[in-house]
Amino acid sequence: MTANRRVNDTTSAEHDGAPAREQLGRSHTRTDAADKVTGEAAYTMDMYPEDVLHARLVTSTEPHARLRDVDTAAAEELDGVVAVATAADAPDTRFGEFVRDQRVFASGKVRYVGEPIAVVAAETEAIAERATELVAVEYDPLPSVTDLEAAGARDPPAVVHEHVREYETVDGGAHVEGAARERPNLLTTAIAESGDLEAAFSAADHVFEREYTINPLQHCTMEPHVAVARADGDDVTFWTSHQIPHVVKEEIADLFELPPENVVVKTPFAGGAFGGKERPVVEPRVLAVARQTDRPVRLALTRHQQYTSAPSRPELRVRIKDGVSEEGDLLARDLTADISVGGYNEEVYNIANSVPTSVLGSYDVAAVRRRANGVYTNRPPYGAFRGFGLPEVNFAAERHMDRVAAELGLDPLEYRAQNLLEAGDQNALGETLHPCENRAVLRAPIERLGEVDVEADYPDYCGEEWTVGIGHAYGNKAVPQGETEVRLDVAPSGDLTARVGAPDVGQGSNTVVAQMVAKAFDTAVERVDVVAGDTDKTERDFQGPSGSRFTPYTGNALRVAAARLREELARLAAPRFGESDPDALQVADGSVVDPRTGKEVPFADILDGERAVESELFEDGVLSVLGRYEYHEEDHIYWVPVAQAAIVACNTLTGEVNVLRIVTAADVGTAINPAAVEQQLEGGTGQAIGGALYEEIVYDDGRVRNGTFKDYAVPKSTDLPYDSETVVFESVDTEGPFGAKSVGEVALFPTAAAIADAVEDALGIECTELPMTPERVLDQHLDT
Amino acid sequence: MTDVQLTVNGNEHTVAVDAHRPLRDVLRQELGLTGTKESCDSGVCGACTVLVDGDATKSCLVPVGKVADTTVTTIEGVGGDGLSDVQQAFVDGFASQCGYCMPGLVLSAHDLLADNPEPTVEEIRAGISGNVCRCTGYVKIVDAIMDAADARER
Repeated sequence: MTANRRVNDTTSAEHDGAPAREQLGRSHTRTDAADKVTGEAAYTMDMYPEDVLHARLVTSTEPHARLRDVDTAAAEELDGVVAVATAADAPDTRFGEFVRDQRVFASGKVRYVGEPIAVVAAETEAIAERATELVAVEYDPLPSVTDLEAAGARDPPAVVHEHVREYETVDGGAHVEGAARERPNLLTTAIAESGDLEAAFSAADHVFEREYTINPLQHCTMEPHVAVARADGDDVTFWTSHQIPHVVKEEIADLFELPPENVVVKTPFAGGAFGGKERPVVEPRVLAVARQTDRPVRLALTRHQQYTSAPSRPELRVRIKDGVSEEGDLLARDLTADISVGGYNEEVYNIANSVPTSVLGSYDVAAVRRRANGVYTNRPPYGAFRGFGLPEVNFAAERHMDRVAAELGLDPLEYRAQNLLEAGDQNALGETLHPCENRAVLRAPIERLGEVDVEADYPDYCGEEWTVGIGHAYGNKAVPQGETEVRLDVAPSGDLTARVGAPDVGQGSNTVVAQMVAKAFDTAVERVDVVAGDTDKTERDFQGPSGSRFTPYTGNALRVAAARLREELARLAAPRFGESDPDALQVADGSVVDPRTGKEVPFADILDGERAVESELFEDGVLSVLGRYEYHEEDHIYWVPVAQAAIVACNTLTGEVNVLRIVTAADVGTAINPAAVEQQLEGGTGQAIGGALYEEIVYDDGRVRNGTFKDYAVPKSTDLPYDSETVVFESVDTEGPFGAKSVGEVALFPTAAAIADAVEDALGIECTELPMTPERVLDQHLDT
Repeated sequence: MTDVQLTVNGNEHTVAVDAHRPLRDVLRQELGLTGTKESCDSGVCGACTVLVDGDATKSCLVPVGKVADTTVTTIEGVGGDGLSDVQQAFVDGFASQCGYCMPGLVLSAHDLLADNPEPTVEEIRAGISGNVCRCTGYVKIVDAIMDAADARER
């Protein structure tokens, strides 16, 4: 176990005189850091190619309406406007994952305020903006539905997609069946059950049921959704701020009926993603207008459009019923999550279908039923946000653990410990948990807090209007099955090039790739060049970093490629070692080495000599190999346990909640870059505090009321605790590359529940709804 | 269109622009200085921060005509040939993740340390509260600024 407070504690390898070749477990400086602090790093937002046209979306002002007419004549006549595209200029097919329900531009109906209706391209941003105001849209308003419960009913006030059951399904997607078909706004319903639920509830001494509400929020990536598109006949090139460029390529080719090899998607530096940039959003819209000109066209969403026309984290209502014995054994759980889809399926179909398999990692429960429903509403569409719905469900599940413990008079930490799954145990899916310190993770945060002396430690919060509380929660991030391919090249010089399809969107994955490849070749991290996210230069990768899958899948694919390259290098070098068995040869620092004799043969001698290189992998002067890795044996490759403890101060007069200290413990497997692990844990925690206390998209009949940074409370430095500590356990994983697991999403799982528990400790209120704004906290406090 | 004289990073420029156009857009689109970022469009996030006569200023809020007789420093001009001490501290301290907020934060930190060479943690947190970072939770940013201050003391 290592508890880290300062980066400098973990960068000691260099200072201790350890060899620079120590590639893993060392806080190697991020390869992108200097470019980012100097402004050298060019993001898509920074691209203004020569002759670029500036595009702006025209979006719906109605939550639900028949589209009577879209008249672009006045906009087209405006000086400086070069092209305008509407549904008439776009494919008449629909796109989307699993259930294809969305057109490039609204046609026939609009289903949310913010839905793209047209796009204009002009010489300047100001002209484009002015032109959007000249597009005349006539609507026949329809009744709308935005409330999740009303929308999900058999007789809803409005039906968002009358013909949803006729839409094309792809990749194993399916329409709802049976009684669910009687609920017309139901996009999907997913259910999984293990054990005998009825018998387990009958055996229970106590049954407790509650509903929890999680309100929608925005990713607020500092770089908005933006893409530059250039179309030259059937050749199309995109530069885009995106997480999964290979998905953009395939879906654009499919939608616009282009040969996939003609579509190239490049990802410059990306200014954050957090799950919000996994689906095509700006790309099909900008291409629709770029096809009308031979000039490049740049489409960036305005900050307000991020809230109205890009995916946000959905509203969820989660009902949980637990059956427990008198002794505190959790016997049965029945969990139902209703998830708002918004007007179109960005990713809620997939989120709803992942909830039933992914909410089980924490506790040993004999019988569990998990249901999730995706319900269309006339709201801007919802999608993935760092955890794919699961941190939100975990808030409900962990709050419910506290509720049950309180009702039974048990210590909530001991109640969790009593029911905790451990390494080697099977969960309800039949998956065996890998080596991990679940129990130590559960207890570590509270142990780190130790005795809290409010008067000594927090003198500012000793006044009578303040009351301080301590809270705790647990979580377990399931990393789903998947697959990816990479390419690895080794040059005669010993330099390596790793080509990976998933771009680094800010989490530092390129640095981790360099460290892993350097380890596999026992060479310096600086010898590894990483090419990421350019569909023309990388192999197919349809998952990107989503679902915390980057490290296990890309890492293992690189290990496969590296092993094949090492084997080939040893085979080619073997004759130079006389009688040596190629299997006994190793590679180190650009040479093939016989460890018994110490004899070295530089790669250059076997790849760059006068004799032809007898290898099927040799091409263009380098050895190049494809590495493929897939994991489909179980639903999840592994689970990552996490726990947090928080100290909060609550103001009894205003309802304000301040997080004074938070401790995060996680078992991340081998920490490839310890400081980068801290970055993810601290940053994820900060983001989760925002969603727990401050952030909420507020709507009025489907219209976003707070879609600016002035009105939507994205946390500032003074809103988040400086006292954020991480405790890292490193149980070597049996499947992850070099024993590593994933760390990108895990911190967000327990945060909201831990803070809610602390607020309950301080004020005695239940906290079943997020975010815990001063208004909600004060209302509940005054009611008690 | 008006001819506006600008001094940016020690270089003099004459640009023919609408004098009401935000300084940010002129820096990015006319002078190609895209280290100054565009993000919230409402003067909250600080990604567009530049130094105007040494003071951290949100360039999305400033009409270019207003800075004609001033000295503007952007992220491209703060480090000279190498990294400034603040930039080096940010690199060493793992302060950046996606990095989009970094230019603004580096410039705010320079302004903060010029005014207050020995800041407390609370003064640093307050001093950068005009710069939003969505990735980091700010902990390592605060630490890096403290490291830069400590290094100047030595």
